[in-house]
Amino acid sequence: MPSASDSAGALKDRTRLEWAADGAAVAALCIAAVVFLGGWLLGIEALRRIPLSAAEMKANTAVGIAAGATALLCLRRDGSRRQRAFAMGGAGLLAAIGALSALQWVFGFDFGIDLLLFADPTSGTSGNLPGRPALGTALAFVLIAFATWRLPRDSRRNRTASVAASALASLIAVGGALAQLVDERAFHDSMRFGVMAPPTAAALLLLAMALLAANLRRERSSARPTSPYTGFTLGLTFALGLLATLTWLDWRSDVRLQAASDWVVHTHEARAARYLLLAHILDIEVEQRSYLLTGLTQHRARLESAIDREAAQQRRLGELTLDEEQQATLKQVRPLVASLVDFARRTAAMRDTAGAAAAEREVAALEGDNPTAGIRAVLRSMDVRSDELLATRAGAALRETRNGRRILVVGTMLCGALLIAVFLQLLRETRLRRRSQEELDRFFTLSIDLLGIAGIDGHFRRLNPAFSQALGHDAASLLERPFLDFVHPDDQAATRAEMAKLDRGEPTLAFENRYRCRDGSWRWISWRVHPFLAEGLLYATARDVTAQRRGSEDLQEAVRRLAIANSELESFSYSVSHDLRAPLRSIDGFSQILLEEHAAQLDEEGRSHLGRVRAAAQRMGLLIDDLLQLSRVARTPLIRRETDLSALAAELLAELRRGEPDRAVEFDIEPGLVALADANLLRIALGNLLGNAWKFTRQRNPARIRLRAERADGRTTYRLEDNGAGFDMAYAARLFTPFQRLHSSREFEGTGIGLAIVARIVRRHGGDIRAEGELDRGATFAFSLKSDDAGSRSEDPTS
Amino acid sequence: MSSTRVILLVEDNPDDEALTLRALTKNRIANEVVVARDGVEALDYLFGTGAFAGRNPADRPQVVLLDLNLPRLGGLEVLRRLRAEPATATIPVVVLTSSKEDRDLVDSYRLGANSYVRKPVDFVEFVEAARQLGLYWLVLNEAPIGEGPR
Repeated sequence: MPSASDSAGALKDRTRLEWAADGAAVAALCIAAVVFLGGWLLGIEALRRIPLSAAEMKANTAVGIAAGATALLCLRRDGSRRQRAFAMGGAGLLAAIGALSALQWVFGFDFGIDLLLFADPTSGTSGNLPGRPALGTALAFVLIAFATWRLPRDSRRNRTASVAASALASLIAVGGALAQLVDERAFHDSMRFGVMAPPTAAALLLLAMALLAANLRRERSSARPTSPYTGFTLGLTFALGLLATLTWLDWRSDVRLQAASDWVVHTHEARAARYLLLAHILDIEVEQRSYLLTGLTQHRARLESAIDREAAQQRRLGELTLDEEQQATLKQVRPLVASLVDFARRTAAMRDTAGAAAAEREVAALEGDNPTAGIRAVLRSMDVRSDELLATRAGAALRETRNGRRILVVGTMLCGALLIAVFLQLLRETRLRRRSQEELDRFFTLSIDLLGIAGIDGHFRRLNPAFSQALGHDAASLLERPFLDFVHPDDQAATRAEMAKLDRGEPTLAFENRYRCRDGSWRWISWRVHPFLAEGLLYATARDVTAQRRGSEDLQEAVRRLAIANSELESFSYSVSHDLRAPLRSIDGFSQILLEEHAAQLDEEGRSHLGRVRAAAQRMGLLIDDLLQLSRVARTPLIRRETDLSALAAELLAELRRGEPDRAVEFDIEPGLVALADANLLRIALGNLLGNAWKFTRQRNPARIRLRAERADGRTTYRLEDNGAGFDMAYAARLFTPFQRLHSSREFEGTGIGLAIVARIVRRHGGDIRAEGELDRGATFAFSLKSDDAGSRSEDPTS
Repeated sequence: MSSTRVILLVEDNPDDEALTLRALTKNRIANEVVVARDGVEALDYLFGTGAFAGRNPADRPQVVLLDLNLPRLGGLEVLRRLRAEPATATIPVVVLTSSKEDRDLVDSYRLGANSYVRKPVDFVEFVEAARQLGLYWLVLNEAPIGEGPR
């Protein structure tokens, strides 16, 4: 289990190690395959058959393994197309050998590929067809080729297929290796589809493992990881397959051991049966002699009984004797016994008719040719043969016992290893799971957002601490009651409707309701909830949006007030425009009437005073008009269009010239100045600027007014220069403030609002304006209109 | 040449009324000037209702000089109503006001004003404006003929 600090570096090291390991394995496979092929090429059996008692590796198998190893070697890096093509070629060759060999086995075809490369001089010794790889090998080849073919494709399905195929191939290899444990020629002979050579099994296992490792590596670096269950399923299948193989081998070994033991027992039974037969034969002899000696009828009866028992025993022995040779030998016993029985009966009858002496003579006459001795000899020869059989059968039993023991040990070890592997994997999974659980728990606890799980039944099941912190209730009281109890009465209907939606499986993406806090206040909570209907659970993340709600309410209030203020300002301007001017008109009008109608009653001074009254009234009218214009400039919407500044300036100057046709003024206007600007506002601004220039150059002869553009840093600055009265730069900042004048109105008339209007128009266009000047040396007004470089993208910030 | 029909001056400010009358007189405009001091009075005069009941509405003024800022009924509303009546729909209306607001200007023309004149503060200019108005509306302009019985 890697520690928390397990960095990418450690992972890299591990990966490098794995690379080295399976690179070495695959390279070793290539070399081994070449060595085996050399064994075929040079005809050295020791190179093909390791160990010598085992099955040999076929030439095609060696070629296939070489092809498979080469393909894997080529695929080790995500190399060029050529490398990949080469790899696919190797896999194709492997698949062809495997598939063709398997078809030959299953359907009994002969495509003639078995002996294509080399003749097989050791044909037919072990149930194998000459030169043909075992069926297991062929199938493993096909599987490995498939796994190799799928390997470079990075998708979950491909990876699963590749892993499954290599796992199956390794299972076959393990089966082949296990079969080597059965130390018995007869077993190998009995394998219908050939026997895998031990090096083949090892090579297949290595190939399959290398493929599994490659897949694991890809899995780790893949963006689309396989479900862990795939690995578990494969492992389980593998373990079950291994157990099944072991069980079969063990069962088979046991059956054979039983059979061998039965044989041994049977051999002993047969021997016992022969001794019993001999005993009955001796009984016949004894009873015959006893009768001859005593003449007692009981001996005569016993003789007959012994004859019967002997016959029965002879039948039984016949049944027990299965060996053909023994049966033939046993047949020699029958005439001998028959003559013995016949002799016994004959002498007994002779004693009854001719007397005991005659019978004894008859017996003595036979001594030299006693059938009993013959029978003994025959039975003894059967014993000798029986001993031979016993030795063979006991040997077989011993071998089976040994096989069984071996399978038991290896099987137990494999199962143990598998158990350990499974245990380690489980341990790792458990730790990983616990760790990810801990991680989740920490995030759950740390989260600023409210996280919770609720049941469809309307109760919270689990809540993070943020919930308690936001609402002030402790977790237990939140879990205890339905959450609707905490919802604001006005929001309950909407909350119910949202719950109904969730109940239908529709997620909640943005829903806000109010929750009651412990102190009785309400907090706005914004919800994002996903229902998991199968579990009957709702997973919710939520956020306390009370502050935002309050903020947005404040904002709306501010906007509303601003709108009111604006409309008030508008009606104020309107009233100013109307009502302030009316009295001025009266002042001016009646002053004029006084001057006209009552001039006679006024002296010169009175008329002069009335003149000043009229001038003041008119000046106030101008001030009002200018102020109105200043406010209107800020209020009217800005509509940008391509506006020809040069043409506009020329037009305005022509107007000014019409007003004072006698003045000598030289214009120098750069042609083709086009700006994206509001034409009406620009006309007002330029009108003011040009009006100023016209006005302040009144004492110059000739007066010069010049308009040109400067482009720097993608920004166009328009410069309007004159050679007029200029101003002191110390007061430059005051120029653009309303009512601030740098010249007395006696010198130059004006309200002091014009430049404020200009500045406001320029700023509404996103530009800025500055003034440069020197007293009596002229003034320059430089302004920019942002739209020039930003184009139509720039929006008016105030409208 | 000069018609003898009346001029209807709608004006609530007595100063403005006096100045307007003086400006007209100074320009030797001899037409009788009827003064209505709010919108309702103006409509009563035009339709022959209220205080002017019995007056023949077909006896149309030569021109209406209409202020916008009026008590009771605003100038724009007066304009809208007199344009709505067939009998008064074609009477020339000159809006004579202090307002320089674009909104008023646009609304006046939209409601069918024939002219829009802003009263200047300078009385000399006002007199000049009155002269031009008189010349245009009382002398040069031809009113539609044959509308309604006289």
